[in-house]
Formats: sequence, C-alpha cells, structure tokens
Amino acid sequence: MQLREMVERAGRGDHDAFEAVVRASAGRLYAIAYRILRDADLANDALQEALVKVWDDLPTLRDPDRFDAWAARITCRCCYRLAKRERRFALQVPADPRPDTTAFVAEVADQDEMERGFRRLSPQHRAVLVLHYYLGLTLGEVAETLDIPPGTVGSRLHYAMRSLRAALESEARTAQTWERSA
Amino acid sequence: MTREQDLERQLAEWLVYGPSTAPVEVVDEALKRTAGRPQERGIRRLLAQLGRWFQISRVTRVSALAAVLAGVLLTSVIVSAPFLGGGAAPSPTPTLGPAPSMDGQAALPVAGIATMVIESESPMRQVRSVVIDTGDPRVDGRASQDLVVLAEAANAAQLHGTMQLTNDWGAWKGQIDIVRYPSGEEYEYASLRGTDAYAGYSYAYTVHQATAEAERTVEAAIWPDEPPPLPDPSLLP
Repeated sequence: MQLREMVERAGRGDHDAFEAVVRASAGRLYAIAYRILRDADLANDALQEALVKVWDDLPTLRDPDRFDAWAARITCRCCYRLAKRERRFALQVPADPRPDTTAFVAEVADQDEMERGFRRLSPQHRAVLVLHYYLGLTLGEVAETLDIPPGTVGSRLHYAMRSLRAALESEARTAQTWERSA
Repeated sequence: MTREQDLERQLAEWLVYGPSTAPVEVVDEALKRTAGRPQERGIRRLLAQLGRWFQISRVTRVSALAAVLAGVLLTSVIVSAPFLGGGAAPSPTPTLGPAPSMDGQAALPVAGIATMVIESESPMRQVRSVVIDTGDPRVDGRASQDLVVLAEAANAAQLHGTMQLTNDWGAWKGQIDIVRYPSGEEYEYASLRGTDAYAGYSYAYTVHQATAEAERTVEAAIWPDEPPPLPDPSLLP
C-alpha cells in the first residue's frame, strides 16, 4: 500500500494505517528532533508528542503527498516547546585534549566544539540548519515545512551560520588561552 | 573552498552523527496513546481550538483578531472588485497533444534501460534524474525523482518519494519506492498516473540494478486505468 493511501486512511481514523505511517516516518522525525534538541530524552518526548499531534490533526491535512513536510513541521514545533526545558549540556568527550594529538582526538574535539556552538543557537535557528543541511531541503522547502516566509528562512540561515562561526571562534580563542596558561 | 563553504561542509558532516532510527518503545507508547483516541474533527476540533484559544496570551489573541479583521476586509474588497471594474480575465483552455492510442483494455508491456544521475544528495534525501529508454516514446523521457530515506539498516535502505516523467506529449506523475542493498543492488517500483495527453492512463514499472555498476533494466506496462498500488515494502526482495 502506498504511503499516500495509508495517510488518507489514517486521516479517516484507521489506526492500523496510522501505525504503518508512524513506523515508516518515525525514524525521520526522530532524526530531526534529536538534531534540533541534541538530547535523546527530549527527542523521545518531542517525537511522542509529535506523533500524538499528528494523529489528532491528520483529518485537517488536505494533501496527503505533503505529509512528510507537515509532520516535520509538527515535530519542529514540539521541539521548540521542549527546548525551553533543555538541560545543561554534559560533555561527552575528554575535557583535556592535551595528552594526545592524534587525528581521532582532534576530530572528537572538533565535534565537541561544533556541538557547543550549535547549542548556543535558538531552536528556530537549529531547525533551519537541520532541515537545510541534514535533510537537504531547499530554502523554499524549508519555508514551506516550517510555514514561514522564504525571506525569514534566509535570514535565520544567515544569522545561524554567523552565530555558529562566532561561537566556534570563541571556543578556539578560549582553547588557545587555556593552552597558553597551562 | 571559501571559509563559509568550509563551515557549511563541517556542519553537514557533523549533523550526520546521531541516531536516525526512533526508539521502538517511544513509537509504541505513542501508538498506545493514540489507540482509541478520537481525532480532532468537526465540532471536537472547534472545541479543542477554542480551549487552546483561552490558553494563549492576550497579545496573541489581539493580533489574531486583528489578522482576522484584516482578512475579512481584504476578502470584501476582492469580492467587490469585479463590480468595480476589476477582476482577472478567464484563463485560456489548455490544448493537449495527441492521446496515446492503445487497442482494447489490456496492459501494454514495455521494456528498456534507465540511466540515473544523482543531482543532489544529503544524509536523508536524494534528488536524481533518470533517462528512461524503452523505445516507446509515450513512456520515454527524463524523469525527476525526489526521495527521502524512510529507513536505513545495515542490510538495506528503504527510500520513498515522488517521481515525474516528462516528454513532449505530457507527464507521468506518481510515487516511487526503492530498496537499496549495500552491494549496490537496487529495486525501484514506480506507480504513475498520466496527465495531459496521457490522462486516464497508468504506467507502472520496476527497475532492477544488480550491482552499482550494472545496467538498470526497466520492465513496465501501460494501460487505460488507475495505477496500481505500490507493493507492500515488507514483501520486497
């Protein structure tokens, strides 16, 4: 059965069809939620909240072919809400990069810097980056998915990248200062 | 590569890290919560929206009311425009090219090869163009496929998306399912509906590629009816 047909049936209250739709799309929605929230527990909550909302609102979806974008929008909005109770970031990499300078440690350190820089962004900015750079949506598609004007997407993308660069540069300066003082 | 492009590349690579499969227990819990739960439709939806309306801030409510009033005003202006000498001219009726001729109601089998080029790719999406050559000009042409990764496991990936095959007389539009194996083997199933000169006709095909370098063979059929449903993904090879 096609996804479109399953979405149509789910919109008419068919729970079996809804389960098929959920099993087919939950991975993608979870990937979005995790990357915006950067926290597995929050992403779990966002996904669950989003799936319940999808079930509630499916009768209002006019074009079943737009299901992916529509469900992604609901997921992003759940992420915005949950991001308000985002916890402090717990470091997942060694705090001291000095003992080893191998490529692996350098890579992990780079990832950690990116993680911290990304976490400084607002959830709305993170969502634009995730949809554009991870899902590969064009700016027009991001606008359609988030239901915001294309100009706003461009502006959020610009400011998000600028903030990310500033955060990474700040991280680099802090690391240099720390190395000099060590 | 510029500094900006370098950061974009780093970000795209970094975003790949992380899960792309939802925890089963979370999905099961969501399904449990929705089982037996009525969907918001009709009066129930209206009541739910009203309930939420009273939970939102006063500023938001005032802004929404202002937007509604502006909408009503705008609508009244548009509705009255024709009576004021405005209004758009009616659009011309489209003319269609020659309709495909087929004898009887039987499906017409076609076979050939497909050449695929990946136009853009990200971890969860692939946009590609496919040139289909079967010798039947009605179903030959360049197709665009826009695919999202539905599931990815160590032994296979499943993609789903939309496809449009266009040629001089019209277009075939529909959905497509793909199963891809790490060896490069790929099965592609498309179920397409004709438009323009092909309106009322359906075109379904399977493409098989044995290895990443092998030729992509097409087996297809055209018939005057609705397109068939795509096969159940769990039954795919």
